[in-house]
Amino acid sequence: MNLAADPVVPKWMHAASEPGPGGSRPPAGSGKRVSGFSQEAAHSLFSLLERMLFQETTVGSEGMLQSLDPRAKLLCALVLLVAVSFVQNLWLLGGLYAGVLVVALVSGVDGFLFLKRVWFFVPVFTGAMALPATLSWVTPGNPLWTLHQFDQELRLGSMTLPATLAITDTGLAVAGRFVFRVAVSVSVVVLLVMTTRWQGLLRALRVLGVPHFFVFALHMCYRYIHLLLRLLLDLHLGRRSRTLRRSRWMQDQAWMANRAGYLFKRSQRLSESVYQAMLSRGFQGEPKLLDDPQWQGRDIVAMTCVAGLCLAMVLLSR
Amino acid sequence: MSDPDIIFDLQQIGYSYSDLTPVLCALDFKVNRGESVAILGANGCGKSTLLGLMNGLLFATEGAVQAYGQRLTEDKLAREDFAHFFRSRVGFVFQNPDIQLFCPTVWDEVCFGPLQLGLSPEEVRQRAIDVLALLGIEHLRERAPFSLSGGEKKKVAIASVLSMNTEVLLLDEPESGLDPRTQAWFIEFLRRLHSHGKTLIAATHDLSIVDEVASRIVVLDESHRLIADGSTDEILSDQELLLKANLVHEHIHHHGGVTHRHLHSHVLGHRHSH
Repeated sequence: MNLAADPVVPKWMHAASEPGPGGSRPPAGSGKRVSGFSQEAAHSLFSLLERMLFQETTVGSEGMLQSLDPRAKLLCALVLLVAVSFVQNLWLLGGLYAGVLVVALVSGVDGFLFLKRVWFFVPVFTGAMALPATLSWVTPGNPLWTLHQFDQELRLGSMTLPATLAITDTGLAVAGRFVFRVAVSVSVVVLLVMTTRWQGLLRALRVLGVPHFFVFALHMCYRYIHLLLRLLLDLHLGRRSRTLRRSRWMQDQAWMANRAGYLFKRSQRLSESVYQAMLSRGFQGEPKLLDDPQWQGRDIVAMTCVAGLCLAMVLLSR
Repeated sequence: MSDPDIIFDLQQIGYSYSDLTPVLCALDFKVNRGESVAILGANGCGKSTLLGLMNGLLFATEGAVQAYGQRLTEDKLAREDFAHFFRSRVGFVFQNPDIQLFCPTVWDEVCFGPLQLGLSPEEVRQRAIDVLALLGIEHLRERAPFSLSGGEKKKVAIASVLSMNTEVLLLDEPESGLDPRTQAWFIEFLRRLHSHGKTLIAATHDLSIVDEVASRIVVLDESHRLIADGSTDEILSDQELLLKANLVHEHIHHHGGVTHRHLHSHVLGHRHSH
């Protein structure tokens, strides 16, 4: 066949595109980056969320916590959270935190990953509240470090603030207790999530009397987040595969807004289709599910130990 | 008095999207109890919509869909008694398993349908165990459906409908997403189900499976109309009809300096003479 006269393939497709500047040799790859900041930031954020929410590597390993029934773990975690809010003593809180770390390690949880997850959240939850609490204006006490000395007392309406702005020992103790409490609480919750399958956790919620429908809705949210996160990452990769040069900031923003709209429409269609699939299998508004399996002896032992420990801590703290 | 052997009776049905884009136009056909019917058509001709209408998930904008002698309406399917009657008889395997699977685990997924139908927990458990074993997916029992591969999801989707043991199975592209071995097994399984009296209605554009799963074919063309309804042999031997419905195409290939043109469909194997 005479390829030059091929009536199907356009002439410009007969050979690959002309090589760009530098000829046909591949460049060293030291030019400027093609992805803008917003693109990269969005991709990193979505990947991080996907890893944090859906990674189930620790859940499947054989550890102490993984062998317990999710219902027992959830009840233990709740009792611990309540007890932590009553404990005043910093040493006790420190001991409890160390205990949680030991249990995490015994359960085969990657210590570094565990600390990273906990300390990613702790500053977010505590920073805004704990930092002002260290100041003499919020918590009076013996000044440890003077931040600023004003000429005179400050008057804010009917309120009078001392002329010295300092970090106080009492403030530091209050903030430390607060940070430690949050750290222990977040650690308990992260440990529960890292050692329990999401579906087990949802089933466990029913022990607390959470209605089936609410649990089901929660599960659907989780599932949609997974599906939509995957879609978002694919959308980003699809764009990246055809990006040859850095786009302008405005173009990036327009693309993000456009994809957000697309995602919204897509999620709406998806929810309609899923609802149809539920109807098709006999759903009539209230999902019926099988009963959970029986409790094991080790679950009872674990719950008794945690309840005893919490009671002892609260009594010691008084 | 309606004929008790007629399960579906579609009378001049039409369906359009809210922007009035037509998806189906003036479709007229019946499906009898125990039949195996393939709905053939190219992509976008309205096959999935037609199955949605027959499953009472969508409602015709023109004409009427009757099932078991009753007109399928939104109001009727909102009534517990009719919904229970209809859903326990008609099962639907969606083309996209990502839509069909919504439970926390594979086990819950397979148990969902029978539980909604009000079966006893013991019977539900036994059915779930049997169906998981049948499809060779017992090892996926505690996994979350969204974490499975495409083929595994499709198997779970099939299992979730089989456990309901409906007398009618609506299958949207049943072969898609399955590896060749599972595909062959599933087609053989459908033949067996049919020999046990199940009514099968499968939408597909894959001619390679049609004569395996259906004894009758309904053909839709790209103008969303029914252009043929006949026995599988009759329809598959009408090359002109298949060409018109965009189910086969003219294929050109070369043997040395000789160029051949003949009709061709994307099937596992095809016959032609030179």
